[in-house]
Amino acid sequence: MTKVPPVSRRSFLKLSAAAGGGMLAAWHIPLTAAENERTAVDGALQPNAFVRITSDNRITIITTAAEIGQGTLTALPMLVAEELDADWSLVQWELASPTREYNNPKTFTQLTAGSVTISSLYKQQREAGAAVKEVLIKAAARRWGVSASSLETELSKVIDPRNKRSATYGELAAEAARISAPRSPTLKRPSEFTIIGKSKVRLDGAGKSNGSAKYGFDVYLPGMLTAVVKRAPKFGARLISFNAADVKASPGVVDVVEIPSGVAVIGTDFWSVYQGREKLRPVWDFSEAAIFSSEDQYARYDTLMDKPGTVRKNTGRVALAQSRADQKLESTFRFPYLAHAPMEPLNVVIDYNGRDCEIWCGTQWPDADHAAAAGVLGLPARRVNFHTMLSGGGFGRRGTMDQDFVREAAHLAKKVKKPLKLVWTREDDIKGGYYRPSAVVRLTGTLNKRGEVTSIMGRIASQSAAIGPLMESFIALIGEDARTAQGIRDIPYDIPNLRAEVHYEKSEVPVNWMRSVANSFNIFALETFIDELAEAAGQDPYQFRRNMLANNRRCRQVLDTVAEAANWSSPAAAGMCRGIALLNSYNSYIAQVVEASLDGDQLNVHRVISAVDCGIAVNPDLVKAQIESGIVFGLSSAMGKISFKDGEVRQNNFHDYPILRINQTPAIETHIIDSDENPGGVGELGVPCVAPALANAMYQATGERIKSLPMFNQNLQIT
Amino acid sequence: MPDLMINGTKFTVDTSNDVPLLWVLRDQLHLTGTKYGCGMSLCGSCNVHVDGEIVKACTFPASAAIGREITTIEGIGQTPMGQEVQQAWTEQNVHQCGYCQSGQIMSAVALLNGNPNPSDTDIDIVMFGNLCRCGMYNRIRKAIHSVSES
Ligand code: FES
Ligand code: FES
Repeated sequence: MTKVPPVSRRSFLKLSAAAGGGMLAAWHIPLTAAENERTAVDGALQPNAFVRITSDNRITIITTAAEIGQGTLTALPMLVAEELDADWSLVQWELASPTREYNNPKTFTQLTAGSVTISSLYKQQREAGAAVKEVLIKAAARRWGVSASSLETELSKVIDPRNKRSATYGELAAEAARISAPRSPTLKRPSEFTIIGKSKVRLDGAGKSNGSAKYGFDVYLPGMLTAVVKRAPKFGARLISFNAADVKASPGVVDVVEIPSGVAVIGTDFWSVYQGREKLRPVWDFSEAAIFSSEDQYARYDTLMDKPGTVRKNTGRVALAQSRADQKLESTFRFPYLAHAPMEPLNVVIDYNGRDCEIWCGTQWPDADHAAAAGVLGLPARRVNFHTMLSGGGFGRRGTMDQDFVREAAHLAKKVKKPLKLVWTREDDIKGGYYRPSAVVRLTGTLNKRGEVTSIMGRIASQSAAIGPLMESFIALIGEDARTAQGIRDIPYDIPNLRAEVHYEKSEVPVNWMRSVANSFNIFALETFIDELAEAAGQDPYQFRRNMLANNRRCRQVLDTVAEAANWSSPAAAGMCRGIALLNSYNSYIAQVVEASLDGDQLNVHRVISAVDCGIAVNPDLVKAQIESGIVFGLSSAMGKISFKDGEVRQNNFHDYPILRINQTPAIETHIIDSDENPGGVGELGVPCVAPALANAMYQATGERIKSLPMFNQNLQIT
Repeated sequence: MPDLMINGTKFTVDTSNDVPLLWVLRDQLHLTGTKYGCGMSLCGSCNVHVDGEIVKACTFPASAAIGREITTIEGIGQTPMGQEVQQAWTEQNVHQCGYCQSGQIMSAVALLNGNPNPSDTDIDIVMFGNLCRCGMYNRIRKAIHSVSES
């Protein structure tokens, strides 16, 4: 994993001239003496360009977070362009390569996860834009011999209103590059924004419409070979032997190579190696493999529900509250493993010649991948050139703790020493692990005579994606809870006595964060349990929640907004049921109402209404897109599962690991609350509430509480 | 070696070994706009047109396309309908990761060519075959309707 640099070393913006008469604004981190020495030996530092203005007046914003679909390539340039007073039509994007200067100021790495991109870069990106604008103004002032304060900026121009003249940023860039950038430039007030808050069209949209956008999968190098890997059918199994001769005789196959993760079949093209792999007939040693069924695992987790776990939260005195309670409720919930299944299967293009290495990859964690590849190859980092590509989705799979897919490619490259593309098939992806962990969650709640919740106790058994204390403290930086109590320990309601305990289970099955992480199961448990408590208290689910939010204005506001939009105070339309749920996470707030109807085994999800408070919505349409995306993701998660039999994953591809299709997708209505607060995250915000809100709705129709996922099966189809 | 007619241009390719059209387009011709998502006709990421009909290139043998007109995402913009659909996609922010969208656009163009005013049900029937893991279905629907209305 990447080393965390000390916080005190503040980076600052450094300007330099660009080829062809433009300017580059680059982040510069003051070096230690030792690093200075090494730099002198290795040659100049990489120019870590951040904003590039060329003499043709084009502005390129080098974005330091990955584009996995969330809109980074549009939203981050909007932040810079706003303060720069740029002509938006002349702004373009470029993805940053991994170097320390591009590290996120909050996480000290280039990991794109945890919905932190906008919230953590909001100030930094605007400061960069503002600083560049100030030097452009200074350059114009010098050129014209007037005071900087008499000048204005608009649409990538510095204007001298008194003398009726102007110069484009492109014309001024070369002169501006010689002026040092201010360390604390003045930022606009939100009321002055002209770009932030506007629903700009995605900058990467046109290229994605005509097929020209390049993902990692689309990289072809001269003489490049393709490889697929046969991995163990059970996690933890070891390879004994395989039939290399038959595979090598297969048309198009060039070589068969054993690597730590399995056997790689290498050939001229995908189809050849895919067919060749079928002939491998590997023999495995299962003596140390995880041989279990999902049912076994649930049964084991169930027994843990009666044992105290590691305490992750403890306020008040839960035991006392339980002994004094008027009513006590208890519910246990079961959640399966889930696969991220990004639309673009994993792939890595790697060209290692024994001396230098070049990598092209769509990833959420380029700097960690870069370091991992260098580590496997035994190369100094500077000998590995890493290109971050567009990603066809990620949802966490493209940012694993051990950089599994890049490491695997590096192991292969080390043996082959030819340009090659490592490809995962969809089956490899579904069966390949790094899942959202399975979990059992037990919630115990108490009510007093007035129907108020006096305590909540949560006990969770699951695997953690974080291995070791270093990882845990790192995960804490991005706001995720390594010990999987997220969602319960930071409950938004006023609960006087709250306790969360976790049983951290080990397994050979590799797990990793998936979009909304532990919220994806804990919020289902919590928000359906809140409805159970409301019923026991004889109260309306909306009012019941509202009564526990005296100290949380923003939660109250989203809840009220969604209740009003859904016309909650009137009864649901005939044949229609509805449910509500709430979440406060990622420094954002969401309340959702789901409207559904049941016709025998056919469930129709008609409409999902959301009220969202994410502070300033940098690009409201892209915020809405993220909520829509989260809703579909959340419904898909309620529909599918990864299950095990004798240690083998039973699912294969989209026929048995279904994700929502167009005809199953409800109408989606999203209300964004006007706000001047700093932006919160929205990438995961739409995911956790939709399934519990739907389960709460279905209870109205069926009188049955849903306590295990997936909630759709052969008998219950979503139409 | 046979020729394939792709986006109006003739290409000499190797269609032996039952190679699916998808891998001829990608690995032999580097026409990378057509995507691999499942390899089993389940997701539609690989959709292209063969004689104007939607075909899932991941399971369609390249040899079956000999002597027929193949259109991919790289070529569809040359037709007025293709251009309109691509533009609607961009203007409505239909893309998130965008990986499924070449296939979505190919399906939408075929749908609109056959039915310039599709109902929601017509849209469901044709677009059912295209998965979007980013869940942009409502935008896909809206973009198709916007093309009908223009
Ligand atoms: S790749 Fe052809 S349908 Fe999925
Ligand atoms: S936009 Fe990402 S899969 Fe459709």
